[in-house]
Amino acid sequence: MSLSGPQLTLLRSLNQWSKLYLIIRQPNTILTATLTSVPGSTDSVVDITYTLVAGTYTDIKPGMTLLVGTASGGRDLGIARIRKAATSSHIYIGEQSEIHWTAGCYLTVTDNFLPWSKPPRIVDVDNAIWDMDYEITYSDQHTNFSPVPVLGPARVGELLAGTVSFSFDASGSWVTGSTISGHVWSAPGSYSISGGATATPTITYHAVGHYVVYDTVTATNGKVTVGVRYVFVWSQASLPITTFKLTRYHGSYDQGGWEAGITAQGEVAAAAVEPNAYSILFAKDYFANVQDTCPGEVVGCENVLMCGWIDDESITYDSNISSVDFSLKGLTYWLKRMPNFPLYLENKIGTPDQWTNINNLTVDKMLFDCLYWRSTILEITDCFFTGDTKLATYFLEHVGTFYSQLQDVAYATIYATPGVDKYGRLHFDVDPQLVPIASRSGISLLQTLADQDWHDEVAFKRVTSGQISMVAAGGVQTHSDNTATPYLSNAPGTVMAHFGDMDTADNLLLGSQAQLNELAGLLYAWKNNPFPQMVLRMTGNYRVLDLWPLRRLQLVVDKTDTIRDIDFSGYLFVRDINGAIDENSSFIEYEVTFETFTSVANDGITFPVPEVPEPETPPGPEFPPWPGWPSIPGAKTYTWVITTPAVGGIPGPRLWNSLTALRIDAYVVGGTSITFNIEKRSVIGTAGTDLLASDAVAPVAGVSTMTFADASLPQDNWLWLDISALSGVPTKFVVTLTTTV
Amino acid sequence: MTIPTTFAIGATVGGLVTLNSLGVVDPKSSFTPYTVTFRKGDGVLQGQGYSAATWHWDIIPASQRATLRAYITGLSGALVIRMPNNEGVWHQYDCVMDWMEAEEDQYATRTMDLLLKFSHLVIDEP
Repeated sequence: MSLSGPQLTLLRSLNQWSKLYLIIRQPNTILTATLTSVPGSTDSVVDITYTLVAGTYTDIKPGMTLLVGTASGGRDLGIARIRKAATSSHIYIGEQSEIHWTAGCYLTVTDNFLPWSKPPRIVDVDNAIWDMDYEITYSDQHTNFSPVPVLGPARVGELLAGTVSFSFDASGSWVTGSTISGHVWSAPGSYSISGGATATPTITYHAVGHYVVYDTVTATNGKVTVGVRYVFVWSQASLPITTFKLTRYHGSYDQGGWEAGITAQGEVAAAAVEPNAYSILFAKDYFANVQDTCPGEVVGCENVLMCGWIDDESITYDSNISSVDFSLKGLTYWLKRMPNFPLYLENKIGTPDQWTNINNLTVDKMLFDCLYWRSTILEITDCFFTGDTKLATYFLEHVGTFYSQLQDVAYATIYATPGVDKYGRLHFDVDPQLVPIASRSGISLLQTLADQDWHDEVAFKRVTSGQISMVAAGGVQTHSDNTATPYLSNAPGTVMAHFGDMDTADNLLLGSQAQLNELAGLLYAWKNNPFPQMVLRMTGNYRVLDLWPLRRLQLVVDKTDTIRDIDFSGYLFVRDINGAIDENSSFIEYEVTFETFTSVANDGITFPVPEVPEPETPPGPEFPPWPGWPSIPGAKTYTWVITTPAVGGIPGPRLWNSLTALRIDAYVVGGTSITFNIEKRSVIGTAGTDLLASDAVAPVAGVSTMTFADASLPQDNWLWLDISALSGVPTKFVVTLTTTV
Repeated sequence: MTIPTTFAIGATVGGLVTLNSLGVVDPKSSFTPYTVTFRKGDGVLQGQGYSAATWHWDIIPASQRATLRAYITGLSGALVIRMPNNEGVWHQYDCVMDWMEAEEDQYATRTMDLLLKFSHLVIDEP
């Protein structure tokens, strides 16, 4: 999107301020019941029997939440996800082991659609076969894909003149390998739906409340997915929460999303707030003291500051007043806390036949498989994938959180990160700095910033010495026949730059050598960006700024404006946003940290992939089975190596402890043989006792003897080698005595 | 539509009536066009936030005070007023009126220095 002239006029007008509101969603009860029979085990429960108290079981939809408590409506025993449609006696829940079921406990099904994981169930360990969400066996899911609903964010509106209408646009819904063939909308509690069988219905309400809207999206291949979104209707007679302070309002590219801090008294403190309740922070906006629509990214949702779920509370009280502090955390936070079983998906040539393989595997297919079959994310929020079509041979992610797995899949291969915008929509975008320079003109230019659009000062960081001296990048291009071609590239070239560390990027998914060269150049330029950070405090109500989707802004810094004569004219994108509302004026001020797009990136140079030589030696013969080493006691050896041996004695070492001689081995080099014995001497210069009963003869081939006259070797004795005769002219004599330890 | 140039008050726009018609004398008024300002990059001062105003009576009879008090029985509440801005231009505003937080200086049947504060002024005109 780009800001229109009238929108810029609004953002540059005087007397901008806002009234903030908070709605903490209170889920509607769909059915109440009691547990008929306690499951045989608390482990891996997927099916419970119930006795109906109130409600209609056909109103229960997958993704709703089951509360289990010791009192009606309670959840003290735990919560579970509704896995599939209920029957008149059974409620089917996502496999779980944490609820302590008790006889007759209370069951309450609510229309609370949380982000849930769907654990797979291993059915054949040896062949790595599993079912999704406990019992969904693979049939054709990787050939005929399910559609992905894109319905837009949650809506909140004021009831004026008796009604309020919301226009939805689900035309962005998509499906891999097929087309969207139909939509069927339903909105319990609404007054009317027009265009309920189209992608763009209008839903009207005439009463305040917290509602749910469903769109059943059908693909031409016959697959169906039900998308769910919340709608909130309020009125002056039934105001949302107004008595609170916004203590923090922060969006971060690095953190992957948004969060808000809220301190509340009265209304919130008194309200029965369900743990981790969905909440929507929104505003009524005024420009020149007249109410108007604040420029925003999503039409119909311009009033929304943030959507998320409440995290832990901190309650304080004194003699006068009690207050509660809590955080509103966007989807990213919860994805970082939701564990997931390992992911594995490989490219298959031909028709996929298991959950573990898929044809023409891409990052997007891996992301879809994880989010659709392992979680409820694609049902409860919009998701925008990378659009990258490069093939991969396989993906393997060990057990971790959803966020860590998604990031590993996308960032480690194509530098795409998961990020959640203020509306709660999940985006997978390649880092802005790695968008090829020639393609950046395709990124929407939100506006050209003028001096009147920021106040006080522009603080920008200028880097004058390079941070990275070389980027060494590598990866493979996977072909449709599952073969791969490796590529390497160095940027800025063969020689490292003057300053900086080495940076490596490997295991990338690539399209060609040229693409890798370009990517290496972009990486190098990014890491050496001379203006990596520019902080502006905006003069207007810039709610339109977000981290996702990617938008450009243009800024010109005149040479005469800065003490360093810095002449900057270029494009920026947002890396961090801090919003704060001034209590005295109700003006929401945005402090925005931008990063400048690198303007120059020279492609890296192709680095030859080394040839791996084939082994030149033929494979050796097969050896007979090794019988294994004989079992011998611990032993040590004393060895004499005598060059130019002669008749006489040669001293040996002194024994530091008592030992027993085990064997003697000896051989000669040259000559014919040598006759010898070994003595043990209590005094080194005095003849002692021979170990061998008779002198041994060591020929060239060697001798081993264990016929000892006395094998004992007392402590502090000396060993002494006696050569008594030589035959021929030996040039070397080697004797080894083996003893106990 | 031309806005009358008389001080007025009402719970709603439809209920707007002049102070004179209520038997209340016109106050001395002040108008604060901006509650926050900052210097923009082009050097021009920018005024943001809501406009605010005050009505002040040096002395007001108890009966007139009671008439005004009937509009806001608590400390603060929403209502509609009509008054001039600093340029002498008259507007109708939705606003929040704060009754005096400080101790009122009441003498016999009169109140001295009654000050009413108006904030979050929203122009509300047909």
